[in-house]
Amino acid sequence: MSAIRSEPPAFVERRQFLTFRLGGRTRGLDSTRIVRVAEIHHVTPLPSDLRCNLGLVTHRGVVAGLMDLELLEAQSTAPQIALAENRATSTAKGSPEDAAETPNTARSLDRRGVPEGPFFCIFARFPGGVAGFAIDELLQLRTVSMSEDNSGDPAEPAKAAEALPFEIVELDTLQIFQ
Amino acid sequence: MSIDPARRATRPGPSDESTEIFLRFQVGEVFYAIRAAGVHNVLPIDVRPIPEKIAKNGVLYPTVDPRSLFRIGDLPTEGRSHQTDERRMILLSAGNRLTALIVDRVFDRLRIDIRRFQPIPWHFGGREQLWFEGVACLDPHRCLVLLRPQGLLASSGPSSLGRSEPRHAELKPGDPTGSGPAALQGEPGS
Repeated sequence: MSAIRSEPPAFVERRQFLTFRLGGRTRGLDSTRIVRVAEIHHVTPLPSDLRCNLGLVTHRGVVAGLMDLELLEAQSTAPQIALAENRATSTAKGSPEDAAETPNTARSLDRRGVPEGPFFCIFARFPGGVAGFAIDELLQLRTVSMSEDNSGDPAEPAKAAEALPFEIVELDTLQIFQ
Repeated sequence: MSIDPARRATRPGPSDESTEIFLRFQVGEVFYAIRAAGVHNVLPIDVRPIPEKIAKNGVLYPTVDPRSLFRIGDLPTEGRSHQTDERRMILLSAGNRLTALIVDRVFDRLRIDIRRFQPIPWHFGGREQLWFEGVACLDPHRCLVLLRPQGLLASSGPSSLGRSEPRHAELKPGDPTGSGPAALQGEPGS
């Protein structure tokens, strides 16, 4: 007779995620990382050496930085390529070629990829501090049970993440400066 | 550093220890400011292409074009237009150096409480840390960016080779150079 494993996972954690649409994907950000969500009407495009930096936004009299989360994630997963792009094509921020590379988004973007007009912005705690990023659509808060199995299988957390109806934004893995 | 919304930018008038007069101008879509105390003159641009140095009253001012430095493209150079007619060069001293700053449009002088400026956001960690001393929110949607002319000079041209600039600068009332030790990094709502 085969043994049936019936004991519950060693630890079940309930986490709350704010879900949103960005670049055609449904994403979720741990609610503990969120400072505020605001509707933004204007971006001041502050020049930067880093393509993921879009500019400055103001909300209730406070100035904060705006980043492109998708560019930042791309730069974090392929830092060498992103760094080369930062150096070689930062002039392309205003080029037609750059506009053609604009991610799949419902936001209205100008030729540099900076959002135009009212858009929702999530201000979140990154490892270096608070910054905002634009989203296409705000969805809902979702509470998820995250089980941490003590079976020793390193694939378990990945499997659990795959089962979620959204992709988690992992702020701690993002590398702004190479 | 939080911003006190009760404090407003005003036209130059009676001063106190924490206010300074700034010259406001525009490059691209962004409004910038520099300390008016270092400004010698504002001149229309009547020569094209813009030379590397401008002579005024027997003094040579090396030109710095923020459009080129910030990679925001150039204005049309063929013929005349409203935009090109409004371009100006601001002759100024930055520390112990002189420069002619090429800008799209010069507005006015404003007296601003220096405490209204906060450091640029932490993730702007490239050369922009040299270029920009701080940012203030003067109306609900627009930011005013305080330029650090020494940083522009350090980033442009071979004459800057071998010079070092602070990566951050602390804003101090009455400090015309804007140089100093590392500054705090602001957080919205903090």
